[in-house]
Amino acid sequence: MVGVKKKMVTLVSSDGVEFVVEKRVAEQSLFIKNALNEGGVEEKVMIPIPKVTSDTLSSVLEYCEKHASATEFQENEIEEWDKEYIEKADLDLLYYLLQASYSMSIMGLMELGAKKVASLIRGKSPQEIRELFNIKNDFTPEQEEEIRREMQWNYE
Amino acid sequence: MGAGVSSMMGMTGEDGGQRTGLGDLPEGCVAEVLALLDVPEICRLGKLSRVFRGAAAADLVWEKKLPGNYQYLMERVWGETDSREDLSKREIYATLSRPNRFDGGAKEIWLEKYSGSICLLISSRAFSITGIDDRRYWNYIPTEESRFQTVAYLQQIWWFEVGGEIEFCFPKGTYSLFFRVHLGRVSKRLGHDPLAPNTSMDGIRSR
Repeated sequence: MVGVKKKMVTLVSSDGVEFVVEKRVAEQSLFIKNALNEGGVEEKVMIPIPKVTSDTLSSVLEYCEKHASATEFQENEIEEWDKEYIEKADLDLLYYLLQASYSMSIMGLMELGAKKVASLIRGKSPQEIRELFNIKNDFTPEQEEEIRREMQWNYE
Repeated sequence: MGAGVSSMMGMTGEDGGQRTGLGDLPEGCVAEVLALLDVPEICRLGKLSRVFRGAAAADLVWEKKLPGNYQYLMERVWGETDSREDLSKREIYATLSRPNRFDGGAKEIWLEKYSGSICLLISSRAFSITGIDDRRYWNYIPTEESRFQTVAYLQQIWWFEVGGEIEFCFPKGTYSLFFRVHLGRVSKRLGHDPLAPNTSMDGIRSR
């Protein structure tokens, strides 16, 4: 044999940066996996990843690379790695990771990001959450009144 | 990997200028986060913004909060014919979190507010009590102290033994079982003022 050639795909971020990665890494994303299956032929595949910038995509692929080789590691090693990976992401990257994992269908990463955000939310007042996560109140006064009524059952 | 080291220095949003917030994420994304929180927290967060409001009503969130056997609970409370398929998961949760009477009003079921775990209260009316029809020993008396407004009242006895058996489908978990037994003289609040020591029984609460 003339050496095993790894199957590669090229992902293009929303800001036009190309990432050449192994197919098995890219396929951690169900979105990409489906796109590849539909495409059939795998020669020189270019897959645009809309709404995901190169900064985010690079971080996403770091996750995919680790998890594509998950079988080579002990389970707790992967857990440790996940913990460190998400710990070093600042709030902005955390949003982008959530958004990217959602649009690219990477369940593990979405769960990881959601857990991190949930842990930051827990125990904080609505005002604190609003400030920390920069959430704007975009309700009309009528909607606010409606919400007060809807949510009442919980405080009975 | 094709790109070099990523730079996370720029704190501006990807749509330029404005800082991105959690409220700018797709609703499904926010729902994934909310599904990990307690019910009161979900309700509080639903008041933050439109996206949060939508996410706080998502079936995806409430499916995870409802006990695994919620369909069985609905059947017990409303009967098989009234399946209430038009209710959203959030509405089902809201309904089940209030006390619901079933089995002819002798049992009550509700979901605990924080955990969504099942609480069941059984009236003494639904107990099988030996000699309940013998007026020398037992009587049902009305009282405000029981949610069912009635308790089984025991005039006198020489020995007393309680055993329990209930047929109900609980999801896997650890449950506490309480018998509410009131010993000694009944206060005036019980609506009865006899001279003899007595026992009154109310129900089992399990969760």
